[in-house]
Amino acid sequence: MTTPISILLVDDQSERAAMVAEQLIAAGYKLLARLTSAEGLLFQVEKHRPDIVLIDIESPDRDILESLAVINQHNPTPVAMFSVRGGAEFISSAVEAGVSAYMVDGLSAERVAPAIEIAMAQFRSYQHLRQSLARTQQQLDERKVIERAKGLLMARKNIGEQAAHQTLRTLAMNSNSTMRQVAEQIVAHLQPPVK
Amino acid sequence: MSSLQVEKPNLKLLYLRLTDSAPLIIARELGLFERHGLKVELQRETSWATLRDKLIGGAADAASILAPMPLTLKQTLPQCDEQLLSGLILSCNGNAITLSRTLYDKLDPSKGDAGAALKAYISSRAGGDKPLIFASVYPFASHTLQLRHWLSSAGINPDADVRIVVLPPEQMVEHLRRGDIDGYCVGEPWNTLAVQEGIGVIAATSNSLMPAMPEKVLAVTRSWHEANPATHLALRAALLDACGWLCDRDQRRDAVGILARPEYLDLPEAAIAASLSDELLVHFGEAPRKNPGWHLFAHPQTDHGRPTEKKARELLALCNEIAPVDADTAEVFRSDLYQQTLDFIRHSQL
Repeated sequence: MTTPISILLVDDQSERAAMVAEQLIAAGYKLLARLTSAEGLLFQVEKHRPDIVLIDIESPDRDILESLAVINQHNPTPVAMFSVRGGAEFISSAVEAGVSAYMVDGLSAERVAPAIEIAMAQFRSYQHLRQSLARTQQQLDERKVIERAKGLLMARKNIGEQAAHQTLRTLAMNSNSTMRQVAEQIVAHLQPPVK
Repeated sequence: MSSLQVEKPNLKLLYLRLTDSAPLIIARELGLFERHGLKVELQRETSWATLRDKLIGGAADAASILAPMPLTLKQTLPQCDEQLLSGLILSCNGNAITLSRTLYDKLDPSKGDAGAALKAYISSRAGGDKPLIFASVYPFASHTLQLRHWLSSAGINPDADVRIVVLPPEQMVEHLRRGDIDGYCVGEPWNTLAVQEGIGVIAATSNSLMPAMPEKVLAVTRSWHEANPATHLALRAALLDACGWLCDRDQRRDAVGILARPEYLDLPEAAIAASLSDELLVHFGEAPRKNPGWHLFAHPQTDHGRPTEKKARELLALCNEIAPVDADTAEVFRSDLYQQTLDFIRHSQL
């Protein structure tokens, strides 16, 4: 048997939270904790490390959870939302728009499982997007430093662009390092002092 | 006044409990929406993410949102096909960095200004000490950028020497009181309020850190704009009128009482009055200092309200320091729509 998905439930209405908790457990999820916003959510997420956080769409704590999902590099957590209010129309448009989490109206056992699956799948695809963005950024940085090193070589040695490129490549091969590493060394050595 | 044939006269606008939500509230109270053929309901939200999702999901027509939000939508909602766009920057500045009294009292004033003293204090701490925690209001917000800038200027590495977390604006004071965080960057009146309650000290204001940085913009979805171009124009005209009204110092004083009401910000007038009067209360019990330009609202005679691609690119470059962002979104700042608003207002006055 696989490990059940662990959930942190955030809701400031205790009656509703109890109802939701009961249904989650009935649907086979592991409920780690039930929190109201007053309990320092940020630190509770770190402590419990849930697979997913379920939160009411009206909760002010949504920004906290979103920042954990978007920014926190170390320990991101997917977030799903539920809404007792809200209405079906809003839910459908939110999903259509690709809101990174999903809302469950009333949270019945049959509806909670697909909602959690969608939230986790969207989260994974987001992680993928973020990694590819980071790679693009890295490539951009690399191109910048190589171009800069070429410029410095061209100025210092009075050679053309192609010759500068060739120099960089030869240096990289001879020293068994990447073009980027060589370029960084050249920039560090040749760049004019900052005034 | 020439009247517009608006497609959708009944609108719902979203805002948060912040002093710079003033243009929306004032436009409603002064009847500026009606003057442009609109009937507007204002709805208060507690979280930026919820406000954004309601706007995208079509549960509201427009909102006053953080300037970097339309630019970084793909970062927060990667699968979203919808775009947010803005044809009006409502305001610049309006934030401040507040340190907890507990932290402030540990700083050695002989080390220089608050930033330098904080740097000295952090350096003096043992390696095993829990890092200081600072809060901002949203991952991609001017607040995060200003906080990081302030820390960096003092020689503090915002990624390594401290922790930056996110909290909704109206929870900042309470978290500071409880000691969960050591400081924050937030919009007004949540800085003034912490000082007036004796639990915080204002260390820097956003207008002194990054002058005239776009703060709140009027945002709508692209599909809403395409379906309601005349309504959007009427809305921008009403709000630019309200922003212009707020540029008058005497009128700003009248705005305080309106903003304070339970149905709007539901906060003490004294807390809201400070930043609108450019008064900076640094320490509890001290006389306020002058802080000109704390809130800079749009005005047809200045360029603060114009959302240009250049301003968008500057914001995106700064956001890129927080996490990699897609720079191709700069065009959602619509200078052309701002120009259309100016032309319309001038023509109406002929």
